Amino acid sequence: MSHPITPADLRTIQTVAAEEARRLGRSLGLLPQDRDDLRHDLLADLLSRLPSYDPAKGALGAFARVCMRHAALRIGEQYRQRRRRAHTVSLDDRLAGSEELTFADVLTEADSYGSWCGQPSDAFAALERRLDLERAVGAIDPEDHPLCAALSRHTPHEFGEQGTMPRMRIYRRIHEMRLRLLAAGIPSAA
Amino acid sequence: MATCSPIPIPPPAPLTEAAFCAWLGTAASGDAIIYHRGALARETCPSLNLLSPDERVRVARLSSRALKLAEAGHVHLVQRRRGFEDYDYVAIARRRPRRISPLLLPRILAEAA
Repeated sequence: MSHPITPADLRTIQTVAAEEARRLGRSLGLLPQDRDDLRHDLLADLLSRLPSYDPAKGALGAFARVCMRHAALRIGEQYRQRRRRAHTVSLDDRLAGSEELTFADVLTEADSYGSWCGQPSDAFAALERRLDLERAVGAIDPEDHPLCAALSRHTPHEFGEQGTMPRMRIYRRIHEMRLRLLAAGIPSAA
Repeated sequence: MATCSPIPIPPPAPLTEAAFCAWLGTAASGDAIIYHRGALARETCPSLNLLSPDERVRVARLSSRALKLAEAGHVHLVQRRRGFEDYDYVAIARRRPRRISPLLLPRILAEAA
């Protein structure tokens, strides 16, 4: 854009930004108060693109609308991705099918957010798991700890492909570990 | 060489190394098992050919495993003489250590991270 932005241009841009923010907010199911943030994001994106605007090719309003629609698509997708990763909910939100109970009423302080995500929150189970792990670690030769760490990420075949350790030795050590765990009272799950 | 007080139960089928470990995994302190009967030193000697090759390998692995577990403090190994070159080789489960070093788990978890 070669000439400076006039107040009329600004009004046009503000109007388009408000419309596109409202449209995006509606499609994402956001509250009206969140639209200001969307409008700001759309305007910030347009400002970086204004230097490439050519008045000979069309009106500023049309240019702004195309830019903002594209930006809205990107912002919308980013927002949906964030929502897929972490469900945003307030502890004060009402439970579905209940007029009085909120999320805070059904989650105890000790269980924390993890219990709502389906993660185990049983302290006794966690302690038993830790003791089992300690017993298993104690049964395995410390020399095999790096191998265990590698097998948590790769299959024996993949680890053998890396050439860190001869394949024959990998399988021999796995056999040895299995027997040691068996003797420690930890049978194979398979 | 010592004698064992508990009455060991002979296994119904030839004991393998894995079956021996599985027994120890479920054994309570003081439980005993006869893991071999005969004369180990003679029977595992390849040049004497007292056992078939497969059987000799099984017995050698089993006795080697028993020795490793004894060295690790998991079993006591004792023998009962029944006759000339005829012994019961008995493994007696020891009490398991209540807790291993608390520093070990964080170390292996750090290695895995």
